[in-house]
Amino acid sequence: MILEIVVLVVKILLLVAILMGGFAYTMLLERRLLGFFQLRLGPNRVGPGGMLQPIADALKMMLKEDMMPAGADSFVYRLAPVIAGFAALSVDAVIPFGAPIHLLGLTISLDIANPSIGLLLAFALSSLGVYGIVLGGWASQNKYSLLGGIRATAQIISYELAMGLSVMGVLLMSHTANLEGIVLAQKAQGWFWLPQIVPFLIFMVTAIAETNRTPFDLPEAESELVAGYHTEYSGMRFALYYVAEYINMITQSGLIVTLFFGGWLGPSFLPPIIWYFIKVIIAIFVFVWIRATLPRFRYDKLMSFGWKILLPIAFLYFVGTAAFVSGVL
Amino acid sequence: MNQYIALLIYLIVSVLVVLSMSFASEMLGPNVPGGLKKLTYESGIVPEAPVGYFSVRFYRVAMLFMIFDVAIMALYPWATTLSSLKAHGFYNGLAFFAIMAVAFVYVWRKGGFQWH
Amino acid sequence: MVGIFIIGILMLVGAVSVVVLRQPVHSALALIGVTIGLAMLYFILQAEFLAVAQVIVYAGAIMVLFLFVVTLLTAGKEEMEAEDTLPGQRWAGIITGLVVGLGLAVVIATHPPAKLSTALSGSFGGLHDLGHQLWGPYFVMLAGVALMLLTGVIGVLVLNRPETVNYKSRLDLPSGVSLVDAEQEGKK
Repeated sequence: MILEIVVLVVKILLLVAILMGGFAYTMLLERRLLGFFQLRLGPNRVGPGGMLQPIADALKMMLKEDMMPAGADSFVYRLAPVIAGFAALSVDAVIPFGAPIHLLGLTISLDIANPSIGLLLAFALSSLGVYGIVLGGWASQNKYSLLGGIRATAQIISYELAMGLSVMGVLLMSHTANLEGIVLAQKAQGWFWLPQIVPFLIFMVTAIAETNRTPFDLPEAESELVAGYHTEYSGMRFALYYVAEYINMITQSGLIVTLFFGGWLGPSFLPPIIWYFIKVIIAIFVFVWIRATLPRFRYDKLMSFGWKILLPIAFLYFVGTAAFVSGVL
Repeated sequence: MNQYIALLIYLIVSVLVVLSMSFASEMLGPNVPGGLKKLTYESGIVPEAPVGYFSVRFYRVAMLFMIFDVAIMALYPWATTLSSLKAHGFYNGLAFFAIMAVAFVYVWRKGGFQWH
Repeated sequence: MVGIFIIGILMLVGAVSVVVLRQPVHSALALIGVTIGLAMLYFILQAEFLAVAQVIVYAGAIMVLFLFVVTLLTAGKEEMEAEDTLPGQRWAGIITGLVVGLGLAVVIATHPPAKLSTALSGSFGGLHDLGHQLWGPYFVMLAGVALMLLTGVIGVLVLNRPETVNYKSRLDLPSGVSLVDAEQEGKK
């Protein structure tokens, strides 16, 4: 019992550390990559290759003055970034990082919890993230912020249905919503990205929208809304929105890898957990690549894109998969 | 049940981490009041009247989203059990889809997804 | 059991704050807290799917719509103290609530919960058990739900009718001239 508690504490601390470190270096990776995409160097002065840049940024953020606008609702203003950061951190608890390992007579699964409804729990927790944005935008009492918050909502109601439908094929093929079960099903049936290629692409698109990144970064469109929902935030509260965005990106990459690319599976010359992180880093690279390539959507286009294109296609592919699985076809 | 307790502990830890981060610069940073700092940013002019109302189209799409969201929630149990429900379950599903498809096509034809 | 009471008390506090708080956004936040508390109760009762559905549908969709409306209605405005149109309604409400609550408490205290005739399986409340029931013997109910959702969709479009843009009237064209004519006219 005591051993189990110790294992749990270690797992929790490790996960928080991985996510926070992952946030810092994903941000650095993105800035360097964007630099190369745009034929410049990116941040490379602090430490070798810019490796200490995130630490310098964190220190700077902490020592900035925290300013709350005069008309702001102080309780909601303080609460909003906490919700955003919490929703981002929480989802990763159900994503398995590797095959269960045997240590000291215990079988340790490499996730905090492994419930039978894991995927749905991940959706439920990440759906709370929008409150951070909407409330932050409202509490600032700034027109740009409010518009950013409203746009975040508008965005959710246009793509989240397609996201829900796009994972149905995976559930159909693996007969479970347990994320570990989904990975094991891919061990038996092969990775799902090939039979589920269309839902995979739709999930990729909606995952970008879920993380509010270009081309779906309408809530923080610089050219239209200054900085969107976090215009009035400064210091660590401002940084927390960035924490949320980048951890969301890591989480969505983890979900893509788990659902469509076999999670920790891979040739045995590397341990499973390394395979998992390699795949996640590749997914993050694709996220950055897309950001460097595509311009922003107009919001009404995003709406009709979500409802009129993504949703029907995801639905038809889902019904086709269902016909195969149930043995009708 | 045990894993939900583990999850709850993790959620509490992550709230504490985020909470302590959010108060870091309020505690550590300088606090120099004065000037026009506390005004909201409005491209350099003094903020004018508050924001007005928003287009009613948003509420329509938001309500439609709610309705279809409920329909999709009913599909998760279907998708995970279909292999044992066999053809019977599949045809039940088709009946459900038919009704929801009528709803979807109705909205589309009525211009419910239209923005201009 | 202890968890149920702690969450129950928190939910009560949240529910009272929904009514008592002056700022509508704070009320909406309290309501979100109540829905999440309800989801946690479902988790304790082993109804996993119901719990997640509660969060996704209520906290993820319905409350977002609530906030959507409330944030815009109160943007930058102090809530005004509404005039009490029905004098004494507060007291009437409190007394009615107490009577109903007491009645419920009496009924629960005098009727101990029924014993289950068959033991529940360990996975009860998960996706598989629910799927077998919902899409098997109880499909008629689900079809009824689908029809209700269809009614809801029609209701949305009736309440919030999509505007049929009348370009003609916008351009102030004489009644016999079509839009195509006007466009060609413009090109000449």
